[in-house]
Amino acid sequence: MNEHEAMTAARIKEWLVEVIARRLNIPARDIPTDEPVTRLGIDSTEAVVISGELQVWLGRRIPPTVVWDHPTIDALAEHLGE
Amino acid sequence: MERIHDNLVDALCVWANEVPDRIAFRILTGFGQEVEEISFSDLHRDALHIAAHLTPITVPGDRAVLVFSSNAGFVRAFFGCLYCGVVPAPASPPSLRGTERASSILTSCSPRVVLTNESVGGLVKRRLDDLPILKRPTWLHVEDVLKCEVNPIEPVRPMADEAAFVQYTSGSTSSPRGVVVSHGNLVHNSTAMALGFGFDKETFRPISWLPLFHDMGLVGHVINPICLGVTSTLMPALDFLQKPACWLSAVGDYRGTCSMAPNFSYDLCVDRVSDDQKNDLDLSGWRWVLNGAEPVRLGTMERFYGAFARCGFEMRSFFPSYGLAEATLYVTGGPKMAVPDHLRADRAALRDNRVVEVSDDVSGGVTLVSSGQMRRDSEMKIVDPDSTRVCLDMEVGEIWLRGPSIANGYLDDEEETAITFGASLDDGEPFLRTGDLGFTRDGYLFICGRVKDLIILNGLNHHPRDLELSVIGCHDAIRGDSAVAFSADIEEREAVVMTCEIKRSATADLNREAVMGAMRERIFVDHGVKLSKVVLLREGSTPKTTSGKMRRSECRYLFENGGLLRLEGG
Repeated sequence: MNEHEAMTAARIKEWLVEVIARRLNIPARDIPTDEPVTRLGIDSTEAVVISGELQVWLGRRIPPTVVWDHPTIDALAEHLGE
Repeated sequence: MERIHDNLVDALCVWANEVPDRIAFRILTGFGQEVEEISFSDLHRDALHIAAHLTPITVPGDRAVLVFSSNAGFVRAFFGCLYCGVVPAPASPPSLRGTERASSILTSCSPRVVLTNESVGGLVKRRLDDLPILKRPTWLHVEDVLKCEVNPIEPVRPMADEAAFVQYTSGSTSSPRGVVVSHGNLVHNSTAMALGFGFDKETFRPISWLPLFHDMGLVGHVINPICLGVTSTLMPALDFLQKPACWLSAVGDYRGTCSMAPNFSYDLCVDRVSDDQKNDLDLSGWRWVLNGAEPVRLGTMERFYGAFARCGFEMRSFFPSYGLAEATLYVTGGPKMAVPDHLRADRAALRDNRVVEVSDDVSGGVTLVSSGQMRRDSEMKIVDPDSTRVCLDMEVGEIWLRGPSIANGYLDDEEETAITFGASLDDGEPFLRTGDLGFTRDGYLFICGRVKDLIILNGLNHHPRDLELSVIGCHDAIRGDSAVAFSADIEEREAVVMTCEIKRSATADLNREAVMGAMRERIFVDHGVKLSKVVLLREGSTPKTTSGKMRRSECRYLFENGGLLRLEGG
């Protein structure tokens, strides 16, 4: 089993919270994971950029529209985790 | 001397005949892993086929809306329309910006046909089926059209003053404006760009990730190459946004010399290209790296140079420039310099339309990058927008233009056409009012803002009024029509700020996060725009003049200088 296969939803969620908190310049603890990220202030260009960062981190193809299809951090992590 | 064609149809027909096997478009997909090559003769044949299919169902001058997720489909459809005199109007595909734009364009230009490809066609149609206008146009998938039997036709030969396409400016969704660009405009602008940049058909090897519904992508990287008969390499915008390095890799792989892109794309490369990826990049041949379509920042270009000098990138390759759809695309740019021409101006003086240079260590200064000079066959005046007095060097005013690249006007909008394209300085021929504020220093143009407070983000224009109207009623605590939207510099990046007043009755147990969240969500859903900052104000404290005219710039000034009457604790 390589490290990519070990990516659980919990780990992905943690990563998403970090990335989005850094982008929005607010503390990670203030990021609600059950709200659409667009409501937090992520725009359409950034959503595609984040899908690209996920692609690098997870080492597999992620569709650019993944954030539209799974709009909250919880849903996205659930979808991408095992 | 380069050969000059009268129109795009002649240009493509000539190249298909003289250099049939030369690649017209190299279409990259899958982050550059897959390559489709379309030769000039392939493009000519497919355009003729599409034109033959359209001929029985259209008359010349009819409009066709083009909605594509694939660059390969788009270029075929675009020239197919031109070959039968149908005027294409490109629209953005859904998923990136919602279907708002596509639907407002469909309503505005009442097309006879909608040309699309399979992967987006169904999605657009399903989402837009409610629009009454959709009962009229015929929906066609280009893949299907190319499989149909057709009766052969000859391409129509348009006159220079005939409409070539309609460029929707990426602005107000409530009233989209389609600039009608003629064949003559395109041929002139293409020549102006070649002479302004200093490239020719031997040295111009364009590589782009720009979407083709955007004027910089379409004119710069589709029409220019066809006028000159050179190979253009195109990749999907989504590929670039997901993996910025694939743009820079393609530059090295295909010996690209020229790319046009808005400022944010250079920031994205600095942030997202890893050192490992840099090891494989060769940017030494990238000679014309245009920066335009949104405010050009010296800091961005310095960071980019710092990050990519090791890949052979040279600072003098940067080519800051200025243009707009109403002037076809290119207005000013160049000549190239060792470091882009710039100056540091006092921010407060600029607000009074004066340019006062200050040294680098003075606070309250703003660095402005020159967008270069204009060619002599066109005219640029800096004009006081209120008195219409022509400004002197180093005096800020609205940029007015005239010349062969200026389009005739907006589609089906005489009123707005007269206001924007019919400005007069008592000497006959009308000027285009660009709405951009700027000044010149020794004939070099500097841009410093918008007369109409337009917000320009990631190369797209947003009218603040659209954003302001959107948030009305999105949360009970917001007072009526009290929101003000403007762009501001936050940490050297363009950001959208919105203020709104909170009802006095709602201040007691106000949930700030809920109000701000509701506004962010509404603005994102309606416009695809991210609000970087939301400021909640006391009731009645939004700055206004009696005419209401200056309140956005006043708000911006107060925001930047800490003078807004924020709610307690905000």
